[in-house]
Amino acid sequence: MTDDDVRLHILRELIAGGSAPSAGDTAAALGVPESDAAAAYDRLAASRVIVLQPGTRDVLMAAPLSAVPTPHVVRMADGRSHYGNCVWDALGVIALLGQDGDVETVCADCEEPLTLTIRGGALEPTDAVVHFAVPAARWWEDIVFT
Amino acid sequence: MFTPEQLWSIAKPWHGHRLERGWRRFTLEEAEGVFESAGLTGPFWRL
Repeated sequence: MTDDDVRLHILRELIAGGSAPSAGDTAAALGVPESDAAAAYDRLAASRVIVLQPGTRDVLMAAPLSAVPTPHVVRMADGRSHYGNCVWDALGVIALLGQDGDVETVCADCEEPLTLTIRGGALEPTDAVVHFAVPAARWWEDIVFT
Repeated sequence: MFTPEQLWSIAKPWHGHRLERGWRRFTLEEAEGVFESAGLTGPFWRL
C-alpha cells in the first residue's frame, strides 16, 4: 500500500457517492493493517493532500471534493451530485470527472443563487465575477476559511 | 476580482489530474505558473 493508493481510495469513494472512508474502511478495502492506513492519512494531511476534521482522522476535504455538505454543489451530467470546498474546487470536480456539469452556488456578495455551467469543456458565458479574500500565500493558514 | 473563465482555467490543471496514479501537488513555482497562465499575476498570487 502506498499513500497514493490511500489518496485514490478516498477520492473514489467520495466520487462514488459514499461518505469519506475512515482509516479502518480504507485498511479493509486495501487489505492492510489499520495502523498503516492511519499513518497514511496522517502523512496525506501533513502534506496538505487531504484535510482532516480537527483532532480526528475523519476526512473533511479531499480536494476538490468536500466530505461534508457545502454551499457549492456540483451536478454532473451522469446525474450524480458532489460538494466542492469552494467554487474553484467545485469547478475542479467537473474538470476531474471530465463531463459536463453545473456548479450551483450562492453569490457571496448579494446572496443570490448562481450557476456556472460547463459544456464540452468550456464555461458558458456568465456575468459573474470572482473575488478571493485571502492572498495565495496565506490560503493554508486557515484552509477551511479560505 | 477576476472572471469565472480564469477560475475555470486554473481549476483544470489544479484538479483535473487528481485521479491519476502518481499525482502530486504542484511546486510553488508550478502553481504560480498556473496562475500566471490565467493572467492572475501580482503579489496576491505569489506563493
